[in-house]
Amino acid sequence: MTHRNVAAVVGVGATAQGEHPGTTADELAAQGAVAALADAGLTRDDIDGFITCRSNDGGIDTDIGAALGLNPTYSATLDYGTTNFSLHLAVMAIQAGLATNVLLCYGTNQRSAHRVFNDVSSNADLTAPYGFVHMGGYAALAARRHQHLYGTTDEQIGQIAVAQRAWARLNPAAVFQQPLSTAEYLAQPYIVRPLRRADLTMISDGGAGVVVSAADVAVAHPSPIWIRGMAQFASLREMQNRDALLRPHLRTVAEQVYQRSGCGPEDIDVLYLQDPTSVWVLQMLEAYSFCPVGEVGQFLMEGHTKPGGSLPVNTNGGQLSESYMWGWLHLVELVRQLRGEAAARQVEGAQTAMICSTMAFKKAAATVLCKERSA
Amino acid sequence: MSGSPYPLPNLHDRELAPFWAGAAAGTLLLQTCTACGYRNWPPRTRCPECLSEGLEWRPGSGRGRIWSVAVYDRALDPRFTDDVPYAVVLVELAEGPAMIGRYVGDPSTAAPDVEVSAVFTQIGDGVQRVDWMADEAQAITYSGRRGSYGDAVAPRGR
Repeated sequence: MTHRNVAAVVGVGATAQGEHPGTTADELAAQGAVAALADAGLTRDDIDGFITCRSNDGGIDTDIGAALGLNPTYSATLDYGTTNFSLHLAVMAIQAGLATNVLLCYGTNQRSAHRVFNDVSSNADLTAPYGFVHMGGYAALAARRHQHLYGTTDEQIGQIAVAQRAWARLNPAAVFQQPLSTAEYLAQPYIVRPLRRADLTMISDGGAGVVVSAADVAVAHPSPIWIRGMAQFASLREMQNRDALLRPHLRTVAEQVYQRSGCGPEDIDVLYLQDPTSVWVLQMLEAYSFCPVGEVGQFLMEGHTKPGGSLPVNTNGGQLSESYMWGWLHLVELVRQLRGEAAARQVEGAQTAMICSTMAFKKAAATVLCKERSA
Repeated sequence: MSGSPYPLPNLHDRELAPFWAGAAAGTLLLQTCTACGYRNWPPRTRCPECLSEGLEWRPGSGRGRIWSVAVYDRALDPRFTDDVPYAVVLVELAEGPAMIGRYVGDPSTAAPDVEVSAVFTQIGDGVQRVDWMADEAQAITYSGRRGSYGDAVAPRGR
């Protein structure tokens, strides 16, 4: 099955990020949707597909769709709302002939609602009594294992947060703007060894939207960004799988997304890795073959992912420095980069990009997108 | 022990009740498939290997090896303020499954590949947690009181 020339992203939009006290998650999702529609140059009446994802509070298609006055031919809600899965469902709906212009959105007010970035286990009784709380615990286990296997150092891990902060300082929408040097990173106290504050995303409020259109409609848009290939994996036995926290299944996703897109890691001009913690970036750089497994520490020290580097990563600042939006702002930024609209952080000549996401240690998704339609 | 600051498990949980009863009695029980012998963790109502429903709880060896460790220097949940710094370990049991637990002892001595054995720590009335202690450390008499919520005790029959 090929996904080439099936669909393209024609609109992206986002609210201001950070804090929105008094605004519901669904209202933020709707604001993101309206912004994406305007960016696409479409109206509500053009939309015949609608996809939402559950958030900390709400996120259901039948609620948000009603608020937006939609009567689409197809709508759905995903229970695991990271961008890539919604994007894939939109492409599938288009490929199946169920819709032509699909609006996707996500909103969260988890900061104002004081949600704690707490347990991700399906059975908290087996983790909370041990003090195994917060996503940082899982991330620290994975990071320490990587250090044990490959000798990865704190300084090397720190390059992820340092690089993304450098990008964020070029992005006026990013929540974190103050400089972060390696020395400043290392001076931060540990929160969960070996991770520090800068390795863990801050909970934030915000909304975002994306419009995906079928190829025959997208060709008329001034700057469609084409989905070239996509892949997923569902490692549903999770912790029963050996080395689950290292996500060995990412290698399968990598092989398939490269095979289907006809692209390899050498073709990727800008890369978006969903980063609730820095450790996910570390894992994905290796799994998607941007460096050999075990050598990401040295790769990071060489500065490839920083502004001016050979492999710009999370040029919006990522979740570590821009805002915690389940990867939605990664896709927004990817599209702006390939359109050439990224202002001070524009990567010159960016033609091909990849976005990679995970959901807990169960699911993974990756998509390659291109500025040019496939031959 | 009333007033425990700990998040306590539901001792009557449909899938986990036998595990907590075993822990309270100082035994690490593992869900075991009577059809294929698979040691299942976390518990389910059906064996994920052979899909048999014949699962029963049998004593495990109580031995394993640390896969990795997360040392909490900051209490990311206020209920653990008195515990920091503390080490949470993911232990690969001798029987195969991986289990989250608390490491008993100096957190800086917890490291991947360290061999550990199960110990039991009271965290509430009739509630014991399965914790882990490095095997070398157990050669030394353990006297480390765990704050105000109970003592770590060695498993029965060891």
